[in-house]
Amino acid sequence: MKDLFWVVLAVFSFIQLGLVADYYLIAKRKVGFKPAVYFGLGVGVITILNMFASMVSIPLDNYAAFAVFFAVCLPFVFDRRLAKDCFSAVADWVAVIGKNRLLTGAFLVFVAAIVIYTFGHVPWGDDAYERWLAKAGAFYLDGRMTSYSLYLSEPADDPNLWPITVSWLYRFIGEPGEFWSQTLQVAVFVLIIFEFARRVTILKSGIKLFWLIILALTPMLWNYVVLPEYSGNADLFLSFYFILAFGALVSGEIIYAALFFGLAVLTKNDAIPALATLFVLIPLLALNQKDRKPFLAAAALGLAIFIFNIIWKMHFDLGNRFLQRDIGEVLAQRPFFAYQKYALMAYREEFRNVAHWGAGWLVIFFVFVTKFGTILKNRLIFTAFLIFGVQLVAYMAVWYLAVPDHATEIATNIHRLLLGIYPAMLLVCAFVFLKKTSK
Amino acid sequence: MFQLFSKLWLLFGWFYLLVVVSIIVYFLGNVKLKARVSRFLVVLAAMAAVWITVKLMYAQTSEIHRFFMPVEEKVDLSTFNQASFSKELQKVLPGNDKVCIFDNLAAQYLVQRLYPANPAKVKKAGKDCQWVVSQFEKRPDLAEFEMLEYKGSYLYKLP
Repeated sequence: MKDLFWVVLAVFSFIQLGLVADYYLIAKRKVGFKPAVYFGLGVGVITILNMFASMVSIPLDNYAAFAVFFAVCLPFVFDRRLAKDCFSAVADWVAVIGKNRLLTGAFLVFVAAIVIYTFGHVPWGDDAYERWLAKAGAFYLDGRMTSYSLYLSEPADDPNLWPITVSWLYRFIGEPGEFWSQTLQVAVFVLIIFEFARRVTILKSGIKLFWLIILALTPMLWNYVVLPEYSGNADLFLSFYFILAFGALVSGEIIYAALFFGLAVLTKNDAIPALATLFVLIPLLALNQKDRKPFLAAAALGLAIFIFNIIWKMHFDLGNRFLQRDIGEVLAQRPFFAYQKYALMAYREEFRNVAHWGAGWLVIFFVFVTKFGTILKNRLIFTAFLIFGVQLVAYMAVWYLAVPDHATEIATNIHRLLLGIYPAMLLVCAFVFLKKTSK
Repeated sequence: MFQLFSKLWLLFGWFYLLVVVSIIVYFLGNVKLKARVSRFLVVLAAMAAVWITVKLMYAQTSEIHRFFMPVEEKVDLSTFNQASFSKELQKVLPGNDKVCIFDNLAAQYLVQRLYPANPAKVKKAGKDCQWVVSQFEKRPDLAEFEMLEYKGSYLYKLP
């Protein structure tokens, strides 16, 4: 029970830190009920703080975690406007919940079921104990990231946002404990649904509730929280940052989009194509815009995170498993088109795997084809789909270049890779669909 | 003709055929029909999500009791006693000795619990191993070197 208090406080501390960072640095002293955005930002700040401290060899102990927590409490005490705005944002949301008691009740029952299934076990998967949670425990015990702990599993090029976040949670408990790391997965799952709800709520259509059901009850999404073989992995965090980034992109919040694509890159290398594509497209998005400052700021932010990540990798000599492959040798040994055809067939099979995705991809395909004209006309939504396309192609390249044999590689990670873009893709499709059919 | 249909069914099944039929109906229909087809698919997908989720969750109901167990007990149960075994090992194993552990997923769990010691994962206990950890299996060939037995897992100290 004592540990439960500390882990809840840890999750709250991420939200609190993100809120303060957003309030003073990005949103120009405006508060909204955006727990997912704040949590994402808070985790990002802690990650960058830990990475920077590790590069200059400063260990961060449990006291550092509490010092950050208390420091971030101060603005709420001394800035009356911040406290007042927060209070009214929460009060507004409570009023909304009060009007939808049945829906809120059903959602709480669902979350309770997820919690009951999740906290009946610890994570139990190869990736969790070979890399993610193994690193989290090591970072906690060492107080920082070292070459030794970063090379616990090879190749050592995995980004470390997820293990850093878990190690920060351990600082609140006072010891490493994989069992409680699952709190973060539950939190992120709930926040993905919150963010989806927040983004589609502004659209006036009765059918938006069904979109929310499609997302929340997607088996693969909640299985990543509930099943021990997945609950120690970083994949859900990537989904989380992608839904934040794509939601911001299609809403025209380009700075947030760049920031969250950047933090997605610090979560998993899978996000590099998305960030790179956005960076390339920013000049095109800025064309014919009266105010180009947000686009410039977004480009600078995306580039800064990208460069910081490269400096980080060079500092610890972490490399990149795909760039270090002899591509000429791979091309000589693996017939390119036959392998890509196989990957396309794998996609075809995975999309129709209703035990994983329900009928989510069915709706996505339908919206994509029937609203293609709308997609083409809206430059932000078109950009989002372009990035989705680049991600899908990049996954095919990853499978082609990966060391294990192609079929094994695809079989073991196609669902993980698709999970990354799935909530975001559903959100963008809901945008396209609901705008057109709203009353 | 039948072969063609059979091949199409094999490749695409009801999933893609439903997508194609819906799209055709959408483009051929009037405004009212378009709206109905769109809404029908979204509602259908939501119903499918509810049905599959309820089915999957119902299939796991036998595990619900675990939630109500004390934390240490369920941690030990879901790690096959390796969480408490790791604590026993930490009491016994000296810092600098070479520790070997037979490779499997549970070994990976134990390795990360023993950090910063970094036991070598092996298929066979080699001559350079000073300590050997065997999970879930007694090693008759190492019986004379047994140091610790803990709920079906063993630690051997080699000479």
